[in-house]
Amino acid sequence: MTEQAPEALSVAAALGIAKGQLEKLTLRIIGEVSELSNKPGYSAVYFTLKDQQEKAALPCLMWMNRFKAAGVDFKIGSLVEVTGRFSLYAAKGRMNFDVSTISLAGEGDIRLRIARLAKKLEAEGLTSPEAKLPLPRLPQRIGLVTSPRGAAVYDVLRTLRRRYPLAEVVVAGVPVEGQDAPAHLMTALDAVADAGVDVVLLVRGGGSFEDLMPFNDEGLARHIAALKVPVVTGIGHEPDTSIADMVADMRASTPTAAAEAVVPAMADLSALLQGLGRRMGFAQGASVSRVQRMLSDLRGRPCFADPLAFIRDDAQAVDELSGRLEAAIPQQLQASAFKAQELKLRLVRLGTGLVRGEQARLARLGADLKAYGRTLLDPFRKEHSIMAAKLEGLSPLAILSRGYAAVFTPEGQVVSSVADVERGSRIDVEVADGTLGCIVDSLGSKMRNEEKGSTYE
Amino acid sequence: MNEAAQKPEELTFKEALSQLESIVSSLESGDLELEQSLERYSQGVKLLAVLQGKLDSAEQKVQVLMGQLAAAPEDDVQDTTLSKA
Repeated sequence: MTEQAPEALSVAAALGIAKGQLEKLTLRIIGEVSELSNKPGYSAVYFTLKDQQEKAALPCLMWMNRFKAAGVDFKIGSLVEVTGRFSLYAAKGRMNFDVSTISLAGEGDIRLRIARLAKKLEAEGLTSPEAKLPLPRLPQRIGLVTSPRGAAVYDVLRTLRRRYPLAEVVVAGVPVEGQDAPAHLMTALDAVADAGVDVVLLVRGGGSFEDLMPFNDEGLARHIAALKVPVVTGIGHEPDTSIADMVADMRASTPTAAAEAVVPAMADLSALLQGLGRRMGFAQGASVSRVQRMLSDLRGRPCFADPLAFIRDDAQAVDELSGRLEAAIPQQLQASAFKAQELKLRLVRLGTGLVRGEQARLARLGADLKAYGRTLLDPFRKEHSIMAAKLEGLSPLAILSRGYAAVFTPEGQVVSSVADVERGSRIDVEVADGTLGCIVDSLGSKMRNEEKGSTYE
Repeated sequence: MNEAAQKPEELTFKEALSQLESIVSSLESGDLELEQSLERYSQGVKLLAVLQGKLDSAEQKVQVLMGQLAAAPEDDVQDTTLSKA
């Protein structure tokens, strides 16, 4: 344990040893290009290779002459196979991998997978023009699915505000990178679709090929294709097409372009309105002048120029009829007057006959009535004379009370003369307070027996 | 035309615009009675005014369903910070 410690080395010496050891190794490495710096004027192309699964990154450089000689067009996300060796940049103590040859690994494993997925979806018809929903012309609500941070969301909002502020924007901000991004994006798509949007913008800003990987997810692709609302993508700033772009109903190259694609510009709308206003005014003017033309055409027609023309025949007929009528009326009147006269005469004749008959009948009836009247009076006359006689007999009651008496036959006849009775006749002698029933015993005449009334005096 | 039952102010921009377009094309067809065309015309003028008014007075509405938006930067500021995605 008492071995002497090695002599301490200078940094340069240490790096020299390491460099010597490292540069002995020539290696073949496969990895994904994740950063790439290829600027004019640089003597080398710098890039980073990393593993897809494990966390390991290796800075690489390729001298420009070799890079140009290789002629391999790789970019971020490319899976490449390189050969070369480690080298140390002593000035910074930094290790690089000095690439001598480079080739694309297949087309890059990831790209291959994506290409296969693209073919599969294409075969299923998910990318065909028929599968694409038409975009609404004037969306009222626009869904925006993107990261809540970063520029993309504001690029879109600003563009929509400037072009068409009438549309309401419904934002679902979700992580757009990492393993879980596809699931978040699907949830967000559903959320804005449920919010009743007319169109969805699925956007994200530019990033590395790897950053954009969630947009190559099969599940997300199927979700986009199945969504009932049209989806417009604006993913990254690259010409690369993601799977999401392929199945979307429309693909724009950037978030801003996507926003522009779904709404009209205010200026265009104003121009449209002005155009409609002009067309409307023109059409209305035309229709008014068409009517005016029609009216003036009509005014020129013969019926208006000579309005009496078409009643002329009828007027003639009326004239003729009126003449006939004038002729016919007096004739008719004369006939009627004659007939009336005749009727009048007949009436008079008939009337006279009637009156004469009535008069005779009336006279007859009058005579009958007179005769009947007379017979009607007879019983009353008889009654009257009896009543009068009675009255005469009765009236001297006062006289009777002075001792005079009145004599009656049993029939009630006043006996005023001896001739009224016979010997043996029964007579009633009335005195003031009663009647004496007597029998005539003898008859003897007085001289003045003709003066009947005086016997009671 | 039953659309006429609704007042132009109550229509959405899209509805009002499509009504206006149908009015314009019916006027252009020249099939209308004069009274009808005058009525359509005045309706079209109304719609036009409503549409222009909507355009002039529109303000963007933003509803956030998920995620927290950072306070919106002013457009002018935003423009200068754009390119960093």
